[in-house]
Amino acid sequence: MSAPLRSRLAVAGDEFRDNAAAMGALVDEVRALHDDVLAGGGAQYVERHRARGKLLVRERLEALVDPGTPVLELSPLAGLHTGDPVGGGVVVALAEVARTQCLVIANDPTVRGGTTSPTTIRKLLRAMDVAEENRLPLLLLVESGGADLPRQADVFVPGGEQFRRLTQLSAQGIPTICVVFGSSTAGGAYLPGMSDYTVMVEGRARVFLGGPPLVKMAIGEDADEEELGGARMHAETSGLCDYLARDEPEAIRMARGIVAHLHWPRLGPGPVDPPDEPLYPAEELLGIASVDVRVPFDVREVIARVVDGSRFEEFKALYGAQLVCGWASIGGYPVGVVANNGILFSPEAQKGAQFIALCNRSDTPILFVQNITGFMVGTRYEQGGIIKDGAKLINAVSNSTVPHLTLMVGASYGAGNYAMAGRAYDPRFVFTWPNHRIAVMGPKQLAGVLSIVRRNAAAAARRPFDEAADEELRQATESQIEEESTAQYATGRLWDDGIIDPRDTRTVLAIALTAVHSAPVRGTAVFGVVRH
Amino acid sequence: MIRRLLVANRGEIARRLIRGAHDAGCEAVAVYAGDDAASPYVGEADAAVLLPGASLAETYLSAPALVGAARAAGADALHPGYGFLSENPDLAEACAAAGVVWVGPSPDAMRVMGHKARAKELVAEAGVPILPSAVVGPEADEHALRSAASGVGYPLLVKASAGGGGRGMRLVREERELADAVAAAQREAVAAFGSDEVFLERYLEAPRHVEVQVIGDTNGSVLHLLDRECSVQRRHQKVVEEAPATQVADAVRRQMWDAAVAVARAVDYVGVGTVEFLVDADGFFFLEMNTRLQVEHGVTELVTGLDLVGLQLAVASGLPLPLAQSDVGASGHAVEVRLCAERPREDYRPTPGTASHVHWPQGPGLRTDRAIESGSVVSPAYDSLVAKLMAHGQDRAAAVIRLARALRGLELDGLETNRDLLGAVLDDAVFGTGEADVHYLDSRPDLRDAALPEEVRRRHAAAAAFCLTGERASASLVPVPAAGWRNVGRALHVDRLTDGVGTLQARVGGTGQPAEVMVGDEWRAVGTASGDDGLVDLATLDDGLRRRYRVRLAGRHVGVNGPEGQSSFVLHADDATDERGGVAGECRAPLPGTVSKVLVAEGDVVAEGDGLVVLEAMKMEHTLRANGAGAVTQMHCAPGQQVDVHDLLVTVEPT
Repeated sequence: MSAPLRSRLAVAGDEFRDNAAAMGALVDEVRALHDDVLAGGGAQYVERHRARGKLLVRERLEALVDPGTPVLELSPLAGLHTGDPVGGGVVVALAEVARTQCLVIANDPTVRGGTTSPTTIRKLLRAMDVAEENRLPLLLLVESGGADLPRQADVFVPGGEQFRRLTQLSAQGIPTICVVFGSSTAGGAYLPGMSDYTVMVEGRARVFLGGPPLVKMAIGEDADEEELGGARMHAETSGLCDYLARDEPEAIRMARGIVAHLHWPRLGPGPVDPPDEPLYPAEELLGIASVDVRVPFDVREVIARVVDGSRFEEFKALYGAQLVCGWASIGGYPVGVVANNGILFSPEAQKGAQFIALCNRSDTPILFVQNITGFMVGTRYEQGGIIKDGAKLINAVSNSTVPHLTLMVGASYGAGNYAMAGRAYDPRFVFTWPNHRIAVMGPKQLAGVLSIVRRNAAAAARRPFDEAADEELRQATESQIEEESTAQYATGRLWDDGIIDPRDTRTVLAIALTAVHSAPVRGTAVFGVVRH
Repeated sequence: MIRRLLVANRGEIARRLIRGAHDAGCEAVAVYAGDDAASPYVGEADAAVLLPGASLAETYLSAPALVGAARAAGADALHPGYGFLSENPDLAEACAAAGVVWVGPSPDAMRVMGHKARAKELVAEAGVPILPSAVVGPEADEHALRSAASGVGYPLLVKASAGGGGRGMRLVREERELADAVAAAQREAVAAFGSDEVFLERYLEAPRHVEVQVIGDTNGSVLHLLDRECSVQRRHQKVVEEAPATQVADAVRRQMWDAAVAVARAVDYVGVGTVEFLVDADGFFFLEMNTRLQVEHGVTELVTGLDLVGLQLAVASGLPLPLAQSDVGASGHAVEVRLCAERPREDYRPTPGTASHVHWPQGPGLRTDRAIESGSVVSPAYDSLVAKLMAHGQDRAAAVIRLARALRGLELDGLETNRDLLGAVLDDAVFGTGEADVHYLDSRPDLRDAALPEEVRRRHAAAAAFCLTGERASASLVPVPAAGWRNVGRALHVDRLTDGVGTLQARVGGTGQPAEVMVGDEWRAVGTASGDDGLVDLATLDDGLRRRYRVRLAGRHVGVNGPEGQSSFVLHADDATDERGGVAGECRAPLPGTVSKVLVAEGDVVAEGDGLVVLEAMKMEHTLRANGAGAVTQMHCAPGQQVDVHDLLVTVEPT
């Protein structure tokens, strides 16, 4: 077994203390945002919902999951800084139900009646990706008013995908279980419609294509809601309802029973290494990274606080030293770690590509730890083939078939984001520390580039250059880009699966690895053509 | 000498007798009804005989079956224990006829003492004080009744002559209540004992129950083995017993000993028996004599150092008593409580069930005579006595403290008992004075209020904390410690736990450990459960104290043992199998057909599964049944009627 990493972190020093304080403040900000999401649509709507004798969305989730098991909500802050309700009015969670890890999608009916915004659609589709890629049974806890009608133009067409994806999950043999607690009408009626199993709560579920007002408008019929789409009607007459529940708790029990009878097999290998805790406390993860992503730190200090027993078998330690590669395990699941310790040069890129190929040969999932300001630039490096070598790394990342997990612990700028399995490279999960920054380049660089472009344009046109105006514009650009590259901005757009408390990194990755191993873990020997 | 003893009883007394037989050097043969096959006493006997039949009358109450068992097992003696046929002269005679030694007094002695009125006459002749009384025959007219009553004096009790156990008893405070009370007592007496003879007896307002243990041998030697006090009773059944009696002046005590010996001599008593007295400021009065080994004989054994069962066997063998009166002395004090599977606050309703786990307290001066062990079933068919816990100490206070502590250390999961009541009595100041009278328990409903509400909440909280973070939490697929972990909000685990008092909702929230527990709407505590051994450390926010509980889960039964006692809960987890039956409601046609028969009418009461309507369809007759219990409120069909699928046929209102 490999030796544990030795930490050189000065936990008593000022730098550590300042980092921890600043990171702690960012964590508190995120927690405050979570609290807003937990408050649903606000006290008034929560009260109204309770007054109807209904459980709140997270109470439904809590009743569904096995007692004492962890729950990881994905993209809890989706929609942040977009104008959509934060969270998208839907809870997506990795949760254990009847000893089976499942993907749960649950509407929060207190948020604009559980209606669908563009964020909701993005979050739902992302959830279905997670279910499909990781072969997780999908549970839908439905109570939704359907499309947010004033925004129908933004949701109608893309929203159709969810129903296609549902039946495609079913076609792949991934169970889909829909529990209807309230309205699930119009397009929403296809949620139960396309699911393998449907449970409906008597007297509560309303499932119809057109409600009484629409029926009146369309065919002049005076329809009764219960006869049109009540749970009992669907259970006895239409056959859309497979399980009729007397109340919400019974519906949840039935859903648990369905999952239990699936005896859903986990097709990936189980944990094989000792799952002992790291030698260094998770608390110290707060003080490693500066909130200023320009301040470098040794990524091994992060690895030492995340992997089992802090053990790390480093690969090619002396070659391409700014990319740390090696083998470790989390919760006993072996992982290959690819982590930035600075800019990517050609040796780093080549080393990374080789390591990824090795992980594929041994069917080992890869954890990418991103803290990258980009590939090295400059004449010397361009002439040295940095594009050619960078392409090798991007080729390897793109064609690798073992599961990738991406952890953002600092900067993610430029093509470094791509080479290190950024969102566009379909890692199974992306989790972000709250200090994270993401953009095509650093805000200062980007503003400076634009300034140079303006200066050159003025010179070419022989116009006088207004230094003061340029400075003003440069600063405005810098602060705009700064704002658009924050972790909060990124998570609002689902560029990640959630901002996490750095101290929870090991737990979050262990849950993600548990999900990943629900599906087979298979590497490949087939990669794209490379230039040597 | 007795060689092989048939133990004609069950439960804790059977175990006591088996032990006694072994101590006396003889073999013990148990008898058991089918539902007792797994009871501990059966396995402890050297052999056991099955008593066929399902009813008590066929088994433990059948003299022929018991004597037959003795013969089959080659037993040369039969010990009846207490209860059942222990005071039945017919069984004694049947034994004699079969050549089996009866461990007990003569049938004549039993007959005399079994007839309350005759017993009193005989006792009075022996010079023992009795309460003024008068027998009332069925022919007595109102005038005779009044004059008899005024002779006795008010207040008075009307009692069945052949009775016992409080049945047929009526309290009369004024003359105008007399006639009705006598009539009622006569009716009950006929129903219960087959004789309508009743008698009037002076009623004492606040007596204490003191009894004297006696023993006689076939040589005519009769000794007393000191006294016991059994004033703590619930509706004429003893709950706490102790030896010696408290607060009795020495002179009175000696007079009672002498009186008891005189009573025994008057019936040529052989074996152990108990002469019961009521005691008040005016003196003592004979109540009755029990012609058997008492439930509470153990406290006498603890203070005298004697083995009453051993003495019984010796005397039954015809041996002379191996001791003289001067050899009998008391050392210290002993107290016994009767642990029963019952719910005191619901009029001591029996609470049969399965004890999934039992740990009996042990320690110096403790004795537990118990019917059950881990896994034992307490059947509704029998007495609810689960165990007798006894403590012996240098004085009364020491014995009480020891016993109270033993009660708290008792772990008994899955079975609801009167333990909290017993603990409350031992802690009670009035009981502590030793002056509790026979009305003490009935006049103190506060003692029946299970445990203190705070303590019940604490036990709920411990159970709930365990359910989230303890044993049930170990099943996560995630291979790192993350019990109850959430990245957004807090884990919320809701358990509904039912105990004897009611159902409380416990909500456990929090990320990992410790977990915050909320019981009911606002009470809070913080609990930390350690993985496997069921230990929960609970810090309550109202008093700031940390207490340790041990929680065990067996199926849906949660046993919580804490510093102040134990609770058993039934867990209504949402993954539990739904045990509710069907719900009555509408009966609809499952397919088109013709109603061939209607089996019920409006107003009928139906049980789940009862047939309602017979429907003929596709050449088959389908009986449509009630989904649940209820009353038929409306018939929507008649024989011969054609019905379509889903047509409403019968409406049943759930009950």
